[in-house]
Amino acid sequence: MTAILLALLCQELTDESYDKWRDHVVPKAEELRWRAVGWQPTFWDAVVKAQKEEKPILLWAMNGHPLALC
Amino acid sequence: MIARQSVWNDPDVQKLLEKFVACADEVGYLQNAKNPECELFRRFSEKGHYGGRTKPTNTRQGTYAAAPSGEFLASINSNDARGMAEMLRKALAAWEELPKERRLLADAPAPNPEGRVRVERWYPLDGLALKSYTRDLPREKKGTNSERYFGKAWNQDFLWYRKAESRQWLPEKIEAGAKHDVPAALARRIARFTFVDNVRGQTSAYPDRCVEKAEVAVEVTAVEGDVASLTLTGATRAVEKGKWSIAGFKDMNSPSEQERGVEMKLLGRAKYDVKQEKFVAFEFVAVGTRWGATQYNGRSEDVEPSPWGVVAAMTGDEPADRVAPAFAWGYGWR
Repeated sequence: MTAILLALLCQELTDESYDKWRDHVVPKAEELRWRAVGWQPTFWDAVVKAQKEEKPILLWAMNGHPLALC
Repeated sequence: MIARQSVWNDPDVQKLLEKFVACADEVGYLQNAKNPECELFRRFSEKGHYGGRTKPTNTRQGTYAAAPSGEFLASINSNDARGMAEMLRKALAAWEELPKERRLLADAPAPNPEGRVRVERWYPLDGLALKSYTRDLPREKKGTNSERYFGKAWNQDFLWYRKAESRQWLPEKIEAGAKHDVPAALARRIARFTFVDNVRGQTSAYPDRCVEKAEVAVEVTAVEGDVASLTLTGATRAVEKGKWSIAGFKDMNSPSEQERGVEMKLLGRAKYDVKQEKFVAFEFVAVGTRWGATQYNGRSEDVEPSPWGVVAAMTGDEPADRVAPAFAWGYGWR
């Protein structure tokens, strides 16, 4: 419990520290370059699009949706 | 999710991907559901890197290249950009060799074929759709092996509220100075499903019985024209105790007594358009402590309490912003 209290005190969230912690947590532009790929959110969305565009499909399939919590 | 940066940020990989339609999805659903989407996946997944595998698990997770017809082109499960680029080149060569009549489905696929039931259909177009990010905060004590490996880790998820739920974030009478406690069910959604330690990898939601505190209060600070400005303050605490594995495949057959928990303080800002009956801005920052580990969240060597943060803000308009929250099934929506 002491460790928890100490950790909380070190990282206090106030109106003054709000922007600092937001900017720390939100990914930087270089961490989000993967979004430029233009991911379709489901496999079937890609099937429909690829059939229309006559392109192959690249599917990234993980335990947990890779674009959400994975 | 290391691959987001180690593989998909790579310029060579991105260039090759221009020749594909790229998508991401949840492999357990694709392996098990009975509908045309999942049956098409299973048409090629057994020809891939994990085809026929049953141990340590039967997962088929990884990256696959396939024709819309379901013809297998290539696959890999790797966080290495060079290996991925090689797989993509191999897939393009296989695509070129594939006779045109075998590339596509015989008939144009319906946008939502019969039997395909996706949580994404619940996307709250007229409600409140948030994207959340998680990341560890700086620590006083540095230098563990796991911190060196995961030091730059972060993760993302989504958090949805339907239109009627969005309105419940505000007091009945919207006027400057009005104060309001957000209904417990809406605050508990954050505590159970968003404030989960997924920084290094997937984890599970907190059962409702584990939520010890979930309070969010709203104050209307101003009303200008049709738009009300709000501040949010809140606190949550969830603790789960029980017997489970914490080290991936290593201890999967020998679960042990564990405790995991999260204690957070939340501040936020929002703007609600009374005429449009929707939020036009919404953001919160939460800072606190996480402890413990789950089987795949990469915390087996980092179970002691440490600081972390969560930020949630409105989603964008790209298709990838419409991915369902990981635990949307727990919202109780029908």
